[in-house]
Amino acid sequence: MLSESNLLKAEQLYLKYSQHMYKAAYKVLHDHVLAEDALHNAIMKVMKNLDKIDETNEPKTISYLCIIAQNEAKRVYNAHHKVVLMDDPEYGVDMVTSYFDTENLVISRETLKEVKDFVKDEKPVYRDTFVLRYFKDHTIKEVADITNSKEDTVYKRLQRLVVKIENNLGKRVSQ
Amino acid sequence: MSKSMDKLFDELLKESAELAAEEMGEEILSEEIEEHEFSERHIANMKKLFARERRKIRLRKFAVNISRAAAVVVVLAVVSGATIYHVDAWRIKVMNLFTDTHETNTDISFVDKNASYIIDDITLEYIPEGFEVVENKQSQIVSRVKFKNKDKYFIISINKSHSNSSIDSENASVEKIMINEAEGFYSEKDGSNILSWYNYDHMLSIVGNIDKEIILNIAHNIHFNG
Repeated sequence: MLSESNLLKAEQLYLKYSQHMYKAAYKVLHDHVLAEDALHNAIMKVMKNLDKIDETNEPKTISYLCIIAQNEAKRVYNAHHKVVLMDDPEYGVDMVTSYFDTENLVISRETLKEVKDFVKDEKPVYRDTFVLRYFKDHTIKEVADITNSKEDTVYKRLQRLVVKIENNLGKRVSQ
Repeated sequence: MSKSMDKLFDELLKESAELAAEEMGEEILSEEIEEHEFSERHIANMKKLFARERRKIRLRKFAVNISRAAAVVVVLAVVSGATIYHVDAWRIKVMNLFTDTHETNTDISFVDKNASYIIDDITLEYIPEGFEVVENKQSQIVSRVKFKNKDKYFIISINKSHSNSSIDSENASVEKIMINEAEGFYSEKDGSNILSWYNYDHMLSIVGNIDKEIILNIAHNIHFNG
């Protein structure tokens, strides 16, 4: 249950970032009423995760809020269009095999930038899952709740993306 | 893969996720925002949402305060109960409270189960020497007999109704006295002594300017004929 200070925090976040969150939801839904509904639901989800938000860094705060708003918009879209969620078909089972030996890993600013760019260029569903898990330190269950996915699906997405990152780093090492 | 490399790789993922989130946020902030005017329905829904959360917090605070207050009351009750029990003067005071002592009188309440008693039904087996009946009044509710010997007198009253009898206890000492297994109250004030007790569904009292011992002797020697 919310504390008084957390409720105040939620209200302030809404006042400050509701336009950005609305826009993120609208990009998915293209419908004003549904986007407003998604924003309402997203704020409810934000209320559950207020301890994950550090307001001192505006870009990090807004990206987290927009991830929640966008995923809530997808949930509203799926519910509205009666979409049955399928697992991600383009990510084949073979993708879980890593050919990279991390013993060869050298952490540098370059490596960091490479992984960051790789994640950013990923499909939103993979990117969001990765950010929620590795940046916000959400559990698999929490990520599943925010992204409206099964825990098993979240686990697979993370596994596949990490293998892709490893293989991408492996290519660079072998070059 | 060694554990330290695992940890290192994990750190790499965390750092890159944080960087990705920051960059995504910067991109969002750099985009131009066309201000959307929220519908009244949405504004009302958001107000409701925050109001509901505020109400939950208030209720939780109220519940916490109530349980704290209840705990304080219980502790006070236990502490004061123990204190009263262990201090004689306080214990008597509190016991007197149960006899409903007010500022000017003491109420003694009895419940009348069968109102059919008359003066002829009692026998006074002890009458102090020299006393004679000077007055005998009977009604359906009260029977009253007055005895007198020069300047000394006493009156025996029998109340046969649902009775709320009062003893004038202002500046008077009131004590409990047992009369033939019945609990009574004896009071002295300004030379007038009163003994009241309850027996066989009737309220009895002896009022007079005679000594306490004589009053008690009379009371102990009253017999019911029925």
